[in-house]
Amino acid sequence: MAEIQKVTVGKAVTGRRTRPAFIRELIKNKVLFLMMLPGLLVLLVNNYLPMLGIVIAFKDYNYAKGFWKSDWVGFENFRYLFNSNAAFTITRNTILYNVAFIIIAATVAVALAIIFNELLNRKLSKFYQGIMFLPYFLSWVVISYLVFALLSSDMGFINGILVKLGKERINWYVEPAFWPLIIVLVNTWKWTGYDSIIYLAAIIGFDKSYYEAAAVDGATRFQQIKMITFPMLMPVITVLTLIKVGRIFFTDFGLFYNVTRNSGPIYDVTNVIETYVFRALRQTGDVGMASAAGFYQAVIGLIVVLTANYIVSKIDKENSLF
Amino acid sequence: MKKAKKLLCLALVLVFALSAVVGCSKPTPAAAPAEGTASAAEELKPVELTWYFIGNGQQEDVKLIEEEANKYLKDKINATLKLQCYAWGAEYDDKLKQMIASRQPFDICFTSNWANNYQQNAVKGAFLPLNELMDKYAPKTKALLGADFLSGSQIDGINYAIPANKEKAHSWGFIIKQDLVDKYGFDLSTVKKLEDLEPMLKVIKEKETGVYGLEALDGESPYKLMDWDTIGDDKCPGVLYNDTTDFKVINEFETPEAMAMFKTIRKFYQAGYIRQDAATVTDYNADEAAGKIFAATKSLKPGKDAEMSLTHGFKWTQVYITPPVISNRETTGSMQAISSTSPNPERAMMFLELFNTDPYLNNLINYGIEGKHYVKVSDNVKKAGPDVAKYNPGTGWMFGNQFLNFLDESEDPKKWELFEKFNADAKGTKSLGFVFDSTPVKNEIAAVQNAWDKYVPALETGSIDPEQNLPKFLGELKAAGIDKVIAEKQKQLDEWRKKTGK
Amino acid sequence: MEKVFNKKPIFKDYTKISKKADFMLNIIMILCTIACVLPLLIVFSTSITDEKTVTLYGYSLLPRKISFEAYKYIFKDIMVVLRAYGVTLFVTIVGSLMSISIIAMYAYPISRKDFKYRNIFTFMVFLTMLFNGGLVPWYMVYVNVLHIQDTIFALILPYLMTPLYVLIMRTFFITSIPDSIIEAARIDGAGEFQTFIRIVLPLAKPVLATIGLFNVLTYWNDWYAPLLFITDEKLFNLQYIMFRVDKAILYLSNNASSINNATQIMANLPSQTARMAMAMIAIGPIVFAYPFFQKYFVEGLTIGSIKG
Repeated sequence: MAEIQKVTVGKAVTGRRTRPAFIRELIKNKVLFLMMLPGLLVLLVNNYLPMLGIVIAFKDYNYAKGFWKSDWVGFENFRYLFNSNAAFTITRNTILYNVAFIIIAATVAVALAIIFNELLNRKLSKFYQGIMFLPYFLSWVVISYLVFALLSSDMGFINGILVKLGKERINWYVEPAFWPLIIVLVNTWKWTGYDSIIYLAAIIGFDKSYYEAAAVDGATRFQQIKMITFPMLMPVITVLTLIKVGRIFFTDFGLFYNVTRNSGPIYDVTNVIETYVFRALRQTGDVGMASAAGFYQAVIGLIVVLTANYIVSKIDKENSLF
Repeated sequence: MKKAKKLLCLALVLVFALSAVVGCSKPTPAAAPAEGTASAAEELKPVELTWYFIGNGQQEDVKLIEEEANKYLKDKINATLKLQCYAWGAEYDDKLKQMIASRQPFDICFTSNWANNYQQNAVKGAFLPLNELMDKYAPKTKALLGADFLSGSQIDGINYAIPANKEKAHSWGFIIKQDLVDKYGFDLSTVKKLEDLEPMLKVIKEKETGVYGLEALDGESPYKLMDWDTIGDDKCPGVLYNDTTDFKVINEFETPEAMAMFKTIRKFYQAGYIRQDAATVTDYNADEAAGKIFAATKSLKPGKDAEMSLTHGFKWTQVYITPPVISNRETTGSMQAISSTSPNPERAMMFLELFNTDPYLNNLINYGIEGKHYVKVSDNVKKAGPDVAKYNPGTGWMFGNQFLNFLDESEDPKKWELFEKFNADAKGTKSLGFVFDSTPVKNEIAAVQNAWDKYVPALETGSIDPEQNLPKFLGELKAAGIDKVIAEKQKQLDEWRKKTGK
Repeated sequence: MEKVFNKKPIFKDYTKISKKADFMLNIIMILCTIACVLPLLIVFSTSITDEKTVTLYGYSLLPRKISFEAYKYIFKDIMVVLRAYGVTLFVTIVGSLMSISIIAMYAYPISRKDFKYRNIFTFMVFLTMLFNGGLVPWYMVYVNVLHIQDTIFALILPYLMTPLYVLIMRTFFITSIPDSIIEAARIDGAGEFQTFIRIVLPLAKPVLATIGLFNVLTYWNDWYAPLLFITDEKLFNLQYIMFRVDKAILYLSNNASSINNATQIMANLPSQTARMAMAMIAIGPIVFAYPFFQKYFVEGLTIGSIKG
């Protein structure tokens, strides 16, 4: 029945062949387009109109000459991103941290969501969910105070314990070796609760009849998770991961600036593109150079994500982002 | 489900309402067009002057102050005043940057070498050149500031802003906690350099638990006692010796003095005289206010100790170490510029002239209304009034002419005389009046900043070993292109000397 | 679900994990819970500790010396706090409602496999996650074109279409709304919009709740829009007031040598305990948002039953 219906609808549309494809589509799906209209307007004013401003990245922006009349300078504004030996460090750090964060989000957060769903006591599960959401509410500044309370040399909790155990105090903010771990831990602590909610919402929406059928067939709950929950969750995991892959050259400034207390001796493992740009432009505040950094990050992100999306679509068309 | 539908409908209505509002709002008419050649004698049309400055944010009673000022200004220059104070930090810098970059019309703004960067904005055309305007509308201000301030804030002979008339020199030294000095009978007259503090720090370390001997902060550390004649921004190597004769720009971190200084600081750090977390402390006030500091390096001026004692409720005393010098840091440390988007630059200049020379107007804006925000004790001494909490911007030093300010009854009655003397005793640095244009090497400076932040705060607080790290720092500076920056500084300096004959 | 299986206690319940596994998981969860709650307790404890004690001994889990000075300091200007709460609440409620509607209406068409241009419109959203013209052009659009600086709209408009949320919503529509249902609705003669309201939205309750929650948090935690667009202190929200203080402290210490009376100014700013108290006040009401949205984390219709 449904098949027949579809065919007739299709015929009706192809009947008017004089109009170009887009207009035809517009008329056919006018309700859908109308629904998208508010969103498109918001995108226009928030994103696409300002996007014209990318030209600043290629200009020596002079206020008196104005936006359009300032001189073109080619790639001059990009040079500071590459002209020191920090360039390698910040690129490496940015990518490695993001890879770690992506992997953790796709494993720990997913596992947490599954656990939330499996716990026998629903009330308790909801309680855990709520609690694990709490770290998200603390701003990076407040988190930096807390981390400092743990790691401060003279008054920190951890050094206090070390002294009690008869060990030497560690000057945490000067020792680069610990920081990759600290940063990954803090980030996981702050975001996992939040990320897992997305997965949990997906799991809850799954059709229960699959599980019932599997149970009737005698599959254990663990097998059900492996054979049903996981595959069904895969599209969500893929999309979220792809989105994060696109942001691979972007980092959370507060995590790398506030939490590390901008401590110089650990820059080798904490300096990322955002913090580098911030420090570089703090005195000069050059608008063109700031814009150049953003453009560079976006272009790399776009290349990476298009590649990843292509690979995903080769494996399974359904899971790709576009 | 009905509920969801209702909510959705409501939301849709809101969306369309928003787009309607957005669509219909008309551009606000631009402020009155600039007057052609309004001379002071001519009939003046009423205008509004907007003034942006930095502080603790808008004061509660700012409207009252504006009303009072407007009454007064109406007869004088037929202008009304709009005061807008933005908070320290991101707020002032970011807001001003957006407004300047997007060409919003406004009249006057605070600018300096540390906030709303003077040099950057001036060369990018954000401010109006003021030389002629000043000659015409502000002759008294010009006379009052004198050559040091005026030439000290010029870029290529052009004044883009008017400095505040205040102390124009700096002298680095120590602020020391008086009760501990008395307790152990320290003789402060023996303190002539950093090393002289050592025996006292030793005593403090042994006898006073929970007190840090020496405060060292990123930017206000004992390293500042080197007192280089800096060229351009503070955080970029390439300086002159204060007594230079050949005007050779050097990388200060290559000098043996710098190495020696860092070694001393490192020694103090390892001996436990300096807080172990020093490099990462930002809220230094907590330690100072709690009396956890014995000595701290500060930029001194007459009465700094009294000011701090008043704030903290216990006594501090100050010891000058470096001789007072006038440098670009002071002369461009606090200024008012007129925006190149100002619809009424002439009137803005007239206002600044009045503000710099008229005690009533100056004190009104700095302290509020008499009997309300302050009460007069004697002719030019005041004390806090009943409503002081509603208007107390605390920014007297930032604008205008500090010598017109009333004194608080807690302050030294001879404060202004001491200031005059301090100014008179100070000598100008060799580069006074030279403002470095960093635009040609902005990419190198950007990279240098990162290397600076990586090493300097840790070196100047003693957190890392200088013998090992100073060479590494120099290597990273080289890679970042410091040689090019120093060469550019030298080139501009030489040109400036040729032009000015210094 | 539970009800159905409670009726057959004789068999081992294969749709649930074993008691033993449950016990182990609970232990892990309790450890995680502690890790998430402790820091918050420290913040709270610091906020009710005497300022000097904190400077001398550092933070602690239990206050060494209780003092409510920090809260007194904040509530001294009770009007400021209340007004900021008001702004935050208004923006959060109105902003989230508008945002969730706009996002859902945008995400639905681009989730439909029979919608020809879905990929282009998806990409249009995704692209905005990467490219932006920078602050200045954005500011110019808001100030010179829309003229909404210093209005409440400037706090709402920036977050109406968070691209991440649009893409999440789209993915959920794809995975949890079977085409067959939409098809069935069409056969019954329902229009597109009717199908969306009557069929799709009720099925999407969990994701609507999730994105709704995220929207609420986005608006609640925002300090960036006020930083850029708001000058009138009456329109400052709660987070921005906190942000301002933190930034001021950092700035004053970085520029201490340039600012003449930095010591005095610093002393007038909220102390560390007051900052902790502000953090508590800002978190206060919003922690109840999660349980509120949790209610909608229920399985909508069991899809199997419709099919059958």
